[in-house]
Amino acid sequence: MLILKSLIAGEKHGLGVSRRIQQITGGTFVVKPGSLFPALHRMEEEGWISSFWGESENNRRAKYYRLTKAGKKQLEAETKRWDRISWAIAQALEAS
Amino acid sequence: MPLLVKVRSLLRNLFLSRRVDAELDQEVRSHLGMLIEENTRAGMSPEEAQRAARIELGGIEQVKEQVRDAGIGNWLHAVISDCRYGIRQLRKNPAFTTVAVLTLALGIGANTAIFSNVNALVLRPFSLPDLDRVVAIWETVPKQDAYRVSVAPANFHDWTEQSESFEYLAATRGWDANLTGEGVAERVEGYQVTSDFFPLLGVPAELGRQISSVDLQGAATVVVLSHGFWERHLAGDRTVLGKNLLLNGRKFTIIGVAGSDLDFPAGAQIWTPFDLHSVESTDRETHSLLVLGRLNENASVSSATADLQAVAGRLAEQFPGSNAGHGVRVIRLAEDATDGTWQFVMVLMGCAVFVLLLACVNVANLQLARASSRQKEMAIRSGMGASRWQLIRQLLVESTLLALAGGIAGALLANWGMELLRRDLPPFIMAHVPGLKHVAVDLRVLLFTLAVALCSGILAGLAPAFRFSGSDLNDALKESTRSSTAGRSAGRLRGVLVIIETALALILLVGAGLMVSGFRNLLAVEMGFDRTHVLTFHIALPQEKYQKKDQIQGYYDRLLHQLQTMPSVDTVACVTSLPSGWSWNWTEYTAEGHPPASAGEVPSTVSQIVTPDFFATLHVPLIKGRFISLADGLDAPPVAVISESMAHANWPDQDPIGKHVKLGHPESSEPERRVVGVVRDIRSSAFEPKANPTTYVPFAQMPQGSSAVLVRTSADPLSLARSVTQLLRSIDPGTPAYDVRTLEQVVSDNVSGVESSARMMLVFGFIALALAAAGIFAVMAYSVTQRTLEIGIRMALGARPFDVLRLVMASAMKMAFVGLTFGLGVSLLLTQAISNAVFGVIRIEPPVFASLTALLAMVAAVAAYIPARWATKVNPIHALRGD
Repeated sequence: MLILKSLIAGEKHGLGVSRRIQQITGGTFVVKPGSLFPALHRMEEEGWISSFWGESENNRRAKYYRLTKAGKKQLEAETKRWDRISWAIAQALEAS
Repeated sequence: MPLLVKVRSLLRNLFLSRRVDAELDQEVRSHLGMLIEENTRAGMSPEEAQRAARIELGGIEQVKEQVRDAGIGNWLHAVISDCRYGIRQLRKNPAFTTVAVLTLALGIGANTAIFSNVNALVLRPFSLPDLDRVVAIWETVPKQDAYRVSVAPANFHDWTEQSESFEYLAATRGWDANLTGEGVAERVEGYQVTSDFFPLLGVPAELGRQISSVDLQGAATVVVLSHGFWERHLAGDRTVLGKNLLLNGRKFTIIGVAGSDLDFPAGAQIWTPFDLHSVESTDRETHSLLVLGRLNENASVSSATADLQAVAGRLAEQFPGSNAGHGVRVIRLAEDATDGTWQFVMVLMGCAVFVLLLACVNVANLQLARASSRQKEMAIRSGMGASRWQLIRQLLVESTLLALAGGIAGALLANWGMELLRRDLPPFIMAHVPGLKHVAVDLRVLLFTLAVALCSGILAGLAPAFRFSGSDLNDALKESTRSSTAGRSAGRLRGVLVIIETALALILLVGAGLMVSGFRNLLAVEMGFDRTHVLTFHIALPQEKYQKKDQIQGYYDRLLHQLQTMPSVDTVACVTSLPSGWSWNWTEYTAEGHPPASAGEVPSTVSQIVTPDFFATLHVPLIKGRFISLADGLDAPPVAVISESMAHANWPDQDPIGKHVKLGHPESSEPERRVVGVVRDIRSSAFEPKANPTTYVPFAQMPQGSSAVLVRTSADPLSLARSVTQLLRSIDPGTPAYDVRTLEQVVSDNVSGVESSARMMLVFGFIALALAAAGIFAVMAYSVTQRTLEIGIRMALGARPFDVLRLVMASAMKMAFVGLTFGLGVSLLLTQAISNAVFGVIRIEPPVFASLTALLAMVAAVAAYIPARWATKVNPIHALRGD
C-alpha cells in the first residue's frame, strides 16, 4: 500500500520509491531493496503498476514505475481497508 | 484487464527469461549506483559510500533471487531449470545414473507388469459397456453350502416375468458342437443364448446381426460367430453371411459376426438361439443355465437380490419339491468371473509394491552415498542465495528424473517380461480366464506407471533431500573430504535404510519361497491316481446321429477296441469327467438306510460313468468287493462302485457291499444300484481340501454320448496323439477328438495359475536378493572408505587385520540382524493374513522361513565381507598421512 501511495504523485524509480516512503512515514518505514524489488515486480505482474526505462537526475539509466488505473483502484480499496482496521484497533485500545 | 497483464507477465517470464533477467540485473545495479551517488553527496568518501550502499542493498544476487521467487510462473520456470541442471548432474555421473535407473526400472517394471494383469483380469475382465451394471445370477442352497448353483429353466422364466430390477435378463448354456465339412472335423465351444443375451452385453456386431427374438420362434438354425473364430476359420471373409456351417451334422446359417470385444462366456466361439419358453418352461430340476442380468437405472445389486429373493420365496412355497430352500445370489459379473484369480493377482501386486519400495530404498541409499561429494556443491549453492526449499526441490527433481527414466525402462521391461510369461500359458487357460487375452500395456497402465514413477521418485529422493539440505553450511565448507568418523546422522540414516532393505528383501524372499513350495505341494498332493503315461482326450457324439443307447455303445466299443490294439497301448477307459479337469458332475442321491430329512437336504455325490478298465488305467486300488466288469451290461442288474469317502459318509460302521444307492432326485425313475466295490479316493482337484464322495457307474448301463477317454501307454503319451486323431476320423469323421493332453498336463494346467504366480514371485525374490546384497555392499563399502582414517589409527595402535574385519562385519551384521528380525515378524503376519485368501496354497512353513532367513543372512555377510577385507588392507601410514 505504501508503495502504491508513494507512486501517486508520479512515476519513480526504485530508490525514489524507497526514499519517498521513508520521507512520508517520517522515517518509520525503511524499505530495503530485498523486499522492495520483489514487491515492485509482483505488483507489476498484478497489473497495478507499469514500468519503463528512463534517465535519472544524474543521467543514469533507471527503471521507472508508474501507477495504473487498476493500481489506483487497488490503493483506494487498501486504504479503505486500512482505515477500517486502524479505526477498529484505535477503538479497541481506547475502550477500557 | 489484470488477467491479461498476468498472462503476459507469465509468458514473458517463461519465454523471455534472459531479457527479463538482464533488465533485473541492470535495475539492481543502477539502484546500487544511485545509492552510492547519494552517499557521496552526503559527504562520504567513495569507499565508504560504496560500503554503505552495499550494506543497504544486501547481495545483488540475493535481491535478484528474491525478485525471481516472487514472479508469476517462476516456480514452473525454476522447476524447468532444476530439470536442466539435474540432467547435467546425472550425465556427469553415468555410473550412478545407470545403476539407479536400472534399479528403479526393475521396481517400476514389476508394478507395471502386475498392474496390467490387475487391469485386465480384475478391473475389466470383460470389455462390455457399463460392466458395473452387468450381474451374474445364481441359485443358492444354503443348507448344502451351495452358492453358485446353475439356474433351472422354469425358475429363470419366472424371474423374467416377476422381477423389476433388470433392463435385460438373459440365460445361456453350453452347447459345444462338432464342426465338420471340407476336411475339418473339430470341436467348437458354443453357447445357446436367449434373445436378450446380445442386447444385454451391448456390443454391436462386427458383421450382420446378432440373435434376436425372431430367431427363437421355433429355434431357427442360425449361428453367430465370434470374431476370433471368424478370423481363424473363415479368414475374416466379409461375405460369410448366409453361408452354412455344419454343426453336429446339421446346417446352421451364419447371420452375423460378433464384435471383437465380445468374449462371453470366456472362450465362446459360436452362439446359437436358445428357445427356452416353449421347450423347458416347466423344468425346475435341471440346473443348467448361466443367467445374466443388466440392472436398470434404479436397481443396485442388493435391491435386485431382494427383488429376486422375493420371487424365489414365492416359488419355494409353490413348488416345495424342487424349490424348497433355494435362494438367489446376485453378484457383479466382473467379481463373479474373477474369483480365484484376483486373490493371486493381488498377492503379486503386493509383492510388486514391496519390490518397488526396495528399489526406492536402494536408490535413496545411492543418493546418500553421493552426499559427500555433493555436500560442498550444496553449501555453495546455499551461499549463493538458494533457500533450503530450493535445495530440497533440486534433489527431488533429480530423483524424479531418475524415476521417470526408470519408468520408461520399466514399461519396456514389463512389456517384454509379460510376453515371456504369456508364452508358457496353456492355450486352454488363455482362452478361458476372462481378460487374460487383453493383458497389455495400455493407456491406463501407462498412466499408472507414470504415477508410480513420480511417487517412487519422491520417495527415493526424500531421505537424501532432507539429509542434505539440513546440513550446516559452515561445517560443510570446512569439512575436508575425509574425516575421522562418518557424519553420525548420515550414517544412522543409511543404517536404517539397510535395515528396511533387509526386512523388505526377507519378506519378498519368504513370499516367493512359500509360493514355490505351495506350488510344489499342489503338484505333490497325493491325487490318488497315477498320472504318468496317460493320454487323455474328449469325444462328444452328436445327439442327432447317435440317439439310441446301442448306437452310442457300439461307437465306444469299437473305439476302445481299436485303441486297445494299437501298439504300446496298455489299457483304455472312458470316464465322464477327468480327475483334476475343469468340471465334474455332481448329482443328488439317496442311500439305503438314510432317507433325506427334507426336500432341501438331499446329499450329493460326484457321479462318474466309467468303462471297466478305468481303475486299472489310473492305478486306483480296490479296497473291498470288486471292480466294474464287462458283465455289468445294460441287461445285468444295476451296480455301482463307490469311493472310500462315499462309503464312510453313509455306512461308517457297516459293510457297504450289498447296500443300495439311487442316483438322481429321490423321485426320479433311476434304478437302485447295488454297491459291489469300494475303491480308494481320488482327488478331483489339488485345491480341494479332501476328496469328494464319488459313485462309479458302469458305462454299459448308462451310455453317454460325450466322454473323456484315457489311454495308458508304455511310450510317450503325446506320441500317440496323431494316430489317435486319425483313428477317430476313420471311425466317424463327424466326431473329432478334442482337448488332447497328457494326464500330467491336465493336472499341471489346473494349477498353472499358481505356477505362473510362483514364477513371478521367484523373479521378485531374486530381484530382492540382488538389491539387498547391492545395498548392503554399497553402504559397507562407503562406510569403510569413510572410516579409513579411523581404521588406520586403530591399526597403528596395534589392531590386527582380524580385529578390523570383526569391527566392520559386526556393524554390518548388527543392521542385518535387526532387518531380518523385522522382516521375519512382518512376513509371519502377512502369511497368516493371506493364507486363507489364496486357498491355503501359501501357509506358514517353518523350514522355508528358516532357510531363506539363513540365505539372506549369508548374502548380507558376503556383501559386508568384501568391504571388510578392503578395510584390513588399509595401510596405516597412507591413511594417517591423508591429504
